[in-house]
Amino acid sequence: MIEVENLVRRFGSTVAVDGISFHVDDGEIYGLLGPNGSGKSTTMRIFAGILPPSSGKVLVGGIDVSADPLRIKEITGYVPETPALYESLTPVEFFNFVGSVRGVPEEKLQERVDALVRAFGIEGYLGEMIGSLSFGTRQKISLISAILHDPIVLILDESMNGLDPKSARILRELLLGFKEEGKSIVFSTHVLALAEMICDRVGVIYNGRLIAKGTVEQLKGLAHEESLEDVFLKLTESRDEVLGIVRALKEAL
Amino acid sequence: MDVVRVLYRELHYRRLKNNPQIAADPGKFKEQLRKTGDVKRGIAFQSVIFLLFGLMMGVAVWGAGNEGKAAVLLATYSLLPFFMALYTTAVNASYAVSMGIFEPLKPLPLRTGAKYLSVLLSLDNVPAIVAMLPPVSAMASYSLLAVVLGLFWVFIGAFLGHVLGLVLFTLFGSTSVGGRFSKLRTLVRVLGVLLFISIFYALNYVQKYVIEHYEQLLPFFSRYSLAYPFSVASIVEPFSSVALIVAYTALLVPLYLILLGRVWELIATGPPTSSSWRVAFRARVHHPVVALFLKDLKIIARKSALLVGLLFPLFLVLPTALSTLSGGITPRKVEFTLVMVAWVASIGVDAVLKTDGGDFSALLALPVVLEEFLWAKLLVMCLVPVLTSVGVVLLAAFRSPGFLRFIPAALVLPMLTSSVSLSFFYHGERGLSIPDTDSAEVLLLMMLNGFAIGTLALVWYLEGYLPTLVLMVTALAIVLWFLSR
Repeated sequence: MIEVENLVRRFGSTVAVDGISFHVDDGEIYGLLGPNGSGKSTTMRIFAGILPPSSGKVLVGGIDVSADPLRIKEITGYVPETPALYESLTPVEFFNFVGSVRGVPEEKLQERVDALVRAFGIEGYLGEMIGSLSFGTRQKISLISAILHDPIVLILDESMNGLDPKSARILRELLLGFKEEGKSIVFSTHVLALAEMICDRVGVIYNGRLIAKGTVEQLKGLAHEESLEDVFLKLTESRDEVLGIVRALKEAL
Repeated sequence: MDVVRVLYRELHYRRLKNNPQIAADPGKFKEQLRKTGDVKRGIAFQSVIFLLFGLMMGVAVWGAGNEGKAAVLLATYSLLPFFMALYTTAVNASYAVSMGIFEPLKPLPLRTGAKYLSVLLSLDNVPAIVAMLPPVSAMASYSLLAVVLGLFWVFIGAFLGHVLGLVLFTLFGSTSVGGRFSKLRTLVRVLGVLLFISIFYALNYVQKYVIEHYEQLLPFFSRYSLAYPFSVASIVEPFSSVALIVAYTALLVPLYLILLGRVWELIATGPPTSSSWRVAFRARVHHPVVALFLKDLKIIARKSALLVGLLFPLFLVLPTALSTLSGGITPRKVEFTLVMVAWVASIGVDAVLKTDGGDFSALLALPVVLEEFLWAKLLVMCLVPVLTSVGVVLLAAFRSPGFLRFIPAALVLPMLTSSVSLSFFYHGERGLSIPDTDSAEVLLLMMLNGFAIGTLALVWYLEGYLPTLVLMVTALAIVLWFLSR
């Protein structure tokens, strides 16, 4: 479970996250939506214990992220927007490294990595340097290393980026399975159809503020729109802007 | 120059990003970037520190008494820009590439973007050249021509070091590939790097041999200044010197141009892919410190340039160690070697802290505490100096078993200087971070460790081994306690 109360994160005079509050229940997939630079990644890095909040309270699995970020890192699995991996290690070495640092028992590590490697179809790349692999394969390695210790909270920052359709589907099913197991999942994506498909509730962040939250149906009702994309554009005041930009582009080109 | 300025700033920007304490505070970040990201300011600051060092060398040359002695000193000091260029080129080339600063250049229509890398790396060597200005100028008190020739040799030395650094970077590849026989290839790579750096000693030996036997060799060589820089003759003898300068330039410039093309090819194509070689996952779990240590060792073994950085202390103390073992072994000689090994171990901090490069962010989401991280770095840093010291003691003990009593010192001394080095860079740090290590700071650290190790050597000389051992163990315990806080 994640509880966020009046979370603020400042970078100097810039307020990246401006007093957001929401909660994610056990066994729930929560979608964080918002345009680029709206504060989603900052919020997720705070949940993962990487970045301390400037003020406000964030409890992940009942633990305060400001008080014990190390414990937060133990119980969470975090997949960043761009895979953060040691490129001169092979996937085998990287999984063993992450498993060791996380204190995963050898038997459990073997079992989980074997299953995940098979599921994502990367058996043929296990002996290669990570740096020589494609973005999609690196994204899969990033995903596997984030879940190999069986975390109770998952934070996925645009983790579907670069995945082939088969792997994206596997990840989707995997997330639904984790939800069944009672894990809390925070998921950010720009693919609104995907959010509509798997998220129990969503929150829309715009300029660091949580401007709307609820189920997809609730948001559609509130905004009087048919699709989540239209809801999103309306809430982020981008619809007229998008139309204007497209018109100007057509004239210029 | 604009591209280089941008690359220099970008490199320092990314280094600062690797320090979460600084990265999280925009005010501090901007201030640090202003200090370190500006080429002129950064190089000027480092040059001032090196100039102080250079003034000491200048005084020594000035007070040498005669031209021969002064030339010997200058020839020895001229090794500084050579070593600096070799080291900075080999280590920083790998580091700069791993930080990804050349990625934006790749899609641009540049024929050899590596020239920017070359200039970027050469900038790091400017302070070492500045440090040579006082000793070169001091030659004016003997001969004005020697000043001009000395200056030329300083540049030739720096250029030679830079070219050899580029050879290291390209010859052994920037990153090795995985796949079949990868362990064997890594071993070959380590041996290759060791052999490569021992070429310098081979040249040194040839020069020494030629000088000692030049009367016999005179029929074959009209003069004794064989094709090797930094010799006394090359500073005081104008004709042979000019001939050698021309010969070196004719050899190095084409080699340099070929290497630039190859380096850019390596950067542009990225890490090579190995042949399809299927391996099964086999779980192997270690203590976090061991896992971090093994991770660093694997990265270093695969990046030859970093390997040079790690082996550099061995490279520097090899002549001392060999002379200890080749002549009659005395306790004084072994003591001196152990002290030297421990002192030059400080240099290893630079390569060790550059191991993670741009991949450091992979650690931030993992439950790693600074203490574990530093213990792993300490082990990596100590590895080569400890093995060298213990090796010297064991070889000495082979002749006289009494030398085995020096084993504790062989273990403790490199650990002491290594832990002082890490404390120097991590003073006040609370979270995981990679501090910026520039050559001026490494020089200051060398002086600090030189003071510490010099004090121990003095106690060793005056009071004997046991009191010194007690003192060094106590000092190590204090520094480790400080480091663990």
